[in-house]
Formats: sequence, C-alpha cells, structure tokens
Amino acid sequence: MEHAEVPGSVREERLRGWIAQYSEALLKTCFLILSDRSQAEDAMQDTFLKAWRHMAEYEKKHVENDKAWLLRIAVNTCRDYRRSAWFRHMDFRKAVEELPPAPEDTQPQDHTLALCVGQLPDKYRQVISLYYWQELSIQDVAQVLGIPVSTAHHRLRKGEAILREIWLGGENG
Amino acid sequence: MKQLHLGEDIRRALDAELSGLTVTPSRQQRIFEYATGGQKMKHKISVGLVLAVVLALLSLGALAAALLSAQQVVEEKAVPLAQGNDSDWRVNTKFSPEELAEFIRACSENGIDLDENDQIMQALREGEGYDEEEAIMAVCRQAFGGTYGQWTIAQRHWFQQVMVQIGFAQSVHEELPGPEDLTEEEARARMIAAIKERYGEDLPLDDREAYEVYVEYHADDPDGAAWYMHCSSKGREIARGYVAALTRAGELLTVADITPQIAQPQKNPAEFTLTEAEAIHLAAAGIRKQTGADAPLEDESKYRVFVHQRGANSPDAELNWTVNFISKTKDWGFCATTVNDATHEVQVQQADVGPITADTIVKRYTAAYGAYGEWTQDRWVELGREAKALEASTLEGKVLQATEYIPEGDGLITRADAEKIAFQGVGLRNGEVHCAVLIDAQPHPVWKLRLLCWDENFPSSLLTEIDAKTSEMLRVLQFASDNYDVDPSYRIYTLERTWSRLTLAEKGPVYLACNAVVHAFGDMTMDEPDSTAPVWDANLYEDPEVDGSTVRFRGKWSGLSDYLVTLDADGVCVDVQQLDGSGTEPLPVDTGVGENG
Repeated sequence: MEHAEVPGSVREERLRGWIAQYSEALLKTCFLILSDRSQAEDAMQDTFLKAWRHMAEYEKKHVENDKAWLLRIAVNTCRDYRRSAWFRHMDFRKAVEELPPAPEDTQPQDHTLALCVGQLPDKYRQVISLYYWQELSIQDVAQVLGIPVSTAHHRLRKGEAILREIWLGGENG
Repeated sequence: MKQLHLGEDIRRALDAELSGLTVTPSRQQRIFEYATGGQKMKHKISVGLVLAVVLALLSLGALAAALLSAQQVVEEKAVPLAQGNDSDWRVNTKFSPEELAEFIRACSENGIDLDENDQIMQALREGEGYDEEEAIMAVCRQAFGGTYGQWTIAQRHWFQQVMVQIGFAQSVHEELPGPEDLTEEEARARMIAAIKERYGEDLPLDDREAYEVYVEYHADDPDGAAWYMHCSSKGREIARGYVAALTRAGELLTVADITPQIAQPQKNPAEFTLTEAEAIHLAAAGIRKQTGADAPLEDESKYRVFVHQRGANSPDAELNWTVNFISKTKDWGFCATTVNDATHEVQVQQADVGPITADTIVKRYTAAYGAYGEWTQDRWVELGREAKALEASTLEGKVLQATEYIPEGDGLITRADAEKIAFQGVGLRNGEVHCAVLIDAQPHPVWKLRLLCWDENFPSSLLTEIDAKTSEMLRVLQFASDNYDVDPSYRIYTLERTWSRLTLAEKGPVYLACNAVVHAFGDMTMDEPDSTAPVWDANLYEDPEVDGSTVRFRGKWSGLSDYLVTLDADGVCVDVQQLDGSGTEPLPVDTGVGENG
C-alpha cells in the first residue's frame, strides 16, 4: 500500500507545483483565445483536471517542457469550448474591452498594443502569444497548437506583419 | 514613427494588460481539489431525491403540450418551406418575406407568439426575409424557454435533426441516452441534488432566471462521465459555477464548485462619475481636437454611438469608457476612443474623418449602405464612378479606379443566372453568394461572384468569373476557409486580371508567383494552404529566380519540391509546374525564425 501511495503523493506535488507556477499563464492564454474571463477560468481549471488524469501519460512520454505540455492541453480545451454548440449559442462578451483592469501604471501604448494583439485573427494571436509572450520555441508552438512547424512559421510571420500594420496604422488614427 | 520591438513590447503589453487575471493561493487550492476530484461519492437515492425527480417529471409533463406544438409547427411548416425553396443546385438558407410570414402565422395559430421586439418580428414588419435557422431558433427559444444550452438534450437533438433536414447542417452531434440509461430528467435531478447537498440546499439551480444549467450525455466518454452538468449563475453579481458528472449507471463521479475566486470586492458601476452623454461629448471633442476635422459625431442623423463602461470589476481599476462612433453616411468614417472617467483624458484609437478617397470609399459606402455583399449593381456603378474622381494611394484604391462596374443590361445574363452557373460550376450545393458584381471586360462583361460554401469537412470561399454574354465559366479560384478570408478583400470585387496587373506593378512577379503556386499545389483543405507550399519562406526556399515572365523556386532541403511559374504581361499565371526538388540535405529541426522587428 505504501508503494502505491508514493506515486500519488509525487503526482499531487507535481500538480500543486504546476498550479502554482503555471495557472496564471494558462489563465491568460485561455483568455486570449476565448476572450471571456469566465470561460477562461473554466478552461484553465479543466486543463489541470485533464493534466491530472493524464499524469501517467506525461510520465511515460518523459515530457521535457511541462509548460508546453500544459499549454497544449489548454489550447485543445479552449478549442472544445469554442466548438460546442452550447458555446456558439451563448450570449457572452467577446470584445478585448472586457479585459480585467490593468494596474494604474500601465502605459497607454502598452494598452494599445495589447488591444492590437487582441484584434489579430485567432490563429495569429495564438502563435504570437505563445512565441513572444510564453517564450516557447517555434517547435513547441507547433506542438502546442497541433500544426506543422512550417505552418507555425507562416502564422508567426503573417501575425507579425498584421500586428505591425495595426500598430502603425493606429498612429494615423 | 513608432517602432515595434516584437518580443519585448508584446511581453510587456500583455503582462500589463492582463495583470488583473490572477490566481490566488486559495484559488489554487480549489483548482487542485477540483482537478483531483475529491472523494468519489456513492449515494443511495434519498426520499428527497425521489421527490425531486418526480417533481421534475411532472413539470416537464406540463410543458410537453407546448413543446409538441412548437415542434409540430416547425416540422410541418418550417421544414417544408425551407426544403421547398431549395433548388437542385443550391440549398437556400433564407426564408423569403412571404415564407417568413407564413411560418410566423402558423406559429401564432398554434399559440406561439414571438416577442414583438424580437429581430424576426422586425423583419416581418419591414417585409424582409430571414435566415431559416434563425427563424426556427427564435420559435424554439420562445417555446422551450431560455438559451440553446438550457434546452434538454432531446430538444437540442431534435433541433439538430431539423437543421440537417433543411440543409443547414450535415449531421447531428448531440447524443441521446439509450433505453438502458437514466433518463435526462433523472440524471439532471441527481446532479442538481448532489450539488445542493454539497454546496447549499438553497441554491436556486432550478430557477432559469438565476442559473443556466447545461446537461449533456456521452455514451463513450473516456473518463466514464456519461452525464455532465454545468451550472453558471446569471446576472451581474459575482459569478458562481458548479459542475457534476455521473456514470452511465448514475453513480456520482464528481461534483465541484468552479466559482472563480475574486480577490477583492467589485466596484459598483454607479461609481462612474461621467454620464454616458458626457463621455460621448468628451470623446467627440477629443477627436475634433486631434484631427482638426469638424465631424458631426454627435449628430444622430450622421452617426450612431456605441458606448461601453470598462473597469467596474475591481476597486483599484481605472474606470474608462469605450466610445465608438459608427457613421451612417459616406461623408464620414468610423472613430474609436477611450475616455478616462476620472481625468477625462481621451485616447483616439481610430478617426476616419478626412475626405473620402478611393482608398476608403468601400468602407464609407459600407457605413452608409450596409455590407457590400448586399449592394445592388447600381450601387457598385455609383461607387465606381465616384472612385474614379478621387485620390488613390493604396493598391485597393487603384484597383477600384481600374474596375469598370456597369449596369445590368440586354444581351447579358442576369445576376440570378450567374449565381446558378457559379453554383453548378463549382458543384457545391450548400452555400450562399456573398457578393456579385458585373464588370466591363474584353471581349465581354464578366460577372464576378464570391461564393461561401459550407461543408462540415471543407468549408470554403470561391471566387468565380462568368462571361456575362456567353455564360461560360472563365475562372474559379478556391480559398480554403478560415472565417472565409480572401486576401486581399478587394480581390472579391474586381477582375482577377485587374488585380494581377496592379499587384504586379506594385509588388512584383514573385508575389504573384507565390500566389499561383499556393493555388495550384497548396492543400486547400487546410486553413493555410500556403503553409503546405511555402515557397515564400526564405528558410525553406532559395531566393526566387526571375527570368522575364518566369519565376523559379528552388527548395533548400530534400523533400521540398521546386516550382516553375509562368506569368503573362498582366501577371496572370498561365502555367505552374511542380518539379523534382533541388535540395539534398534534410530540413534542420529549428530553422531559426522569429527575428524581432
């Protein structure tokens, strides 16, 4: 019985560590995908639920990048939310204007840039945030999103170009 | 000019903007408990639960009469109407005004009266048509109550079946419990009882105004959660949420409180000091000050205003107003601002208040006359004439000036004929015409149509060109769907040749050659076919070799094909070949992209 208990407590400690270290990053990533705080909270929680359930698989695969592994689950969870008919027919807020308030010392240009990122089409927003904000390698970005590396390259380039257009276009507004 | 240092700026901006999204230690503990599921609980059905189940069944019985009536009306009236307006070459997804009136009359005769303020009733009053799916949804919402997610599994399953019957969907996704399973009523009652037992008997989960309760069933859920319930509170208070799951046998698998933990109390929106009118006035003044233009932003005949309050959900937040001005005429354009409630500072994000140009004319016409896909040919003729007299500095403006929109006329096929030819030509029944324009061309005028075709496996967008005199299908360009994007959008309302010619002058032959390769060899089932023929990627392909009218792409690595594209004088592709690749070395693992701008 003691032997059977050891993996459980190790796993529990691992899960606690993940929650402490990554819950905010996952929450924010889910928010960027879903554009809704409540949904993002749900998705983040479901991510850890799934991570717990697939802990054996995690150990078997000798996953090197915990964060990327969790982000992959989070992104897939968010996709499921968006696919469900329940999600499609709900009346909920989507605009980036619904973001939780930033602290008082946020620079206006940071607020504007964040809005620009929020305006990007989903597929570019995801790559931009995973690569630049979550600082994943392009290979990890591709793995998280379940796309070929070349597609991740493309989305990154295109997202950068669109972001520059939006950002620089705002100067003339 | 602003610079954008991608990595550093994006990190800082998103960290700052989303810093309000936090997870407190107590919240972390709750997440842990939720994820690890707590203890498995086994319950004998209590007397109270039996009573709850019985009451639930009784109340459903009382509703049954109304439900059957709505279903009968939909099945006996809406479905035949929807099927009857389909042709052999196309599924029509819209009721005509007459069909809509007939459907609503049938509803009324069966005691199903729709809210007078509902959009469907407005369409009826104005003699307009209406989407079939939306019309049926409006009736079902009225009859079943609540939102789609609040309906029973059986109701959602039935609705999806109707959608398949009318051609709106290809399959039903909702699973129904089998005869050996619990009924939905039993499962629902058990899960509600379990949540109440754990989190409070006074939770008003049965009150549809207080909670949205969603239940679904999956016979083969990998985690054994055949029944799943999600409850979320409604209203502006702190959101509360609960989940529960049962096995197929009805054993409780999990019950959890998923209420987000808000660390601090919320601010009352009444604490905003500005009134809505004051915020609008400040925004308008800010735009005028920044632009020097005397736009009539507060004139209701010229603009409508969208106002939104931000920042009310934290005591430390700055309170701001989003004030957007949406033009009603083509004389002025869209403006977006943020107004600080305390300091009254105005940030202008966008202000299209300058003179109309060929570059902005489509946006301006859209503001005044609605989406361009809905315009008549006469409107396009008017736009074309006006655009030619204006300045153009962008490719879009130049393309519009080079496109001659002409009235429909004798000897030319009608728009309706062109639509039929286009749908038959591409061979897809389920779809709609997004845009259709008649353009002067040689030797004959051309109908240019953009079709949006939905197929569950491969939704797509197609640009078609049809000879308006001979009815010949001249060209079909397919774009894999990602929200039906066509890049650039003005390719939709000009001839492909015009777009190519001007793009060739502005961007050169390589750009067009890349385009040609993607359309010929990209995987069009993907939302980014250019990622499957990435000749544009300098990490994967050598610098293109341009020789007169040909462009050759050589892959750097083994496994990548070479391509040879031949363009005519206008940049239109006349030939594109896929050749054996030049590369011999395998693609390295990391090709090192991500240069900061």
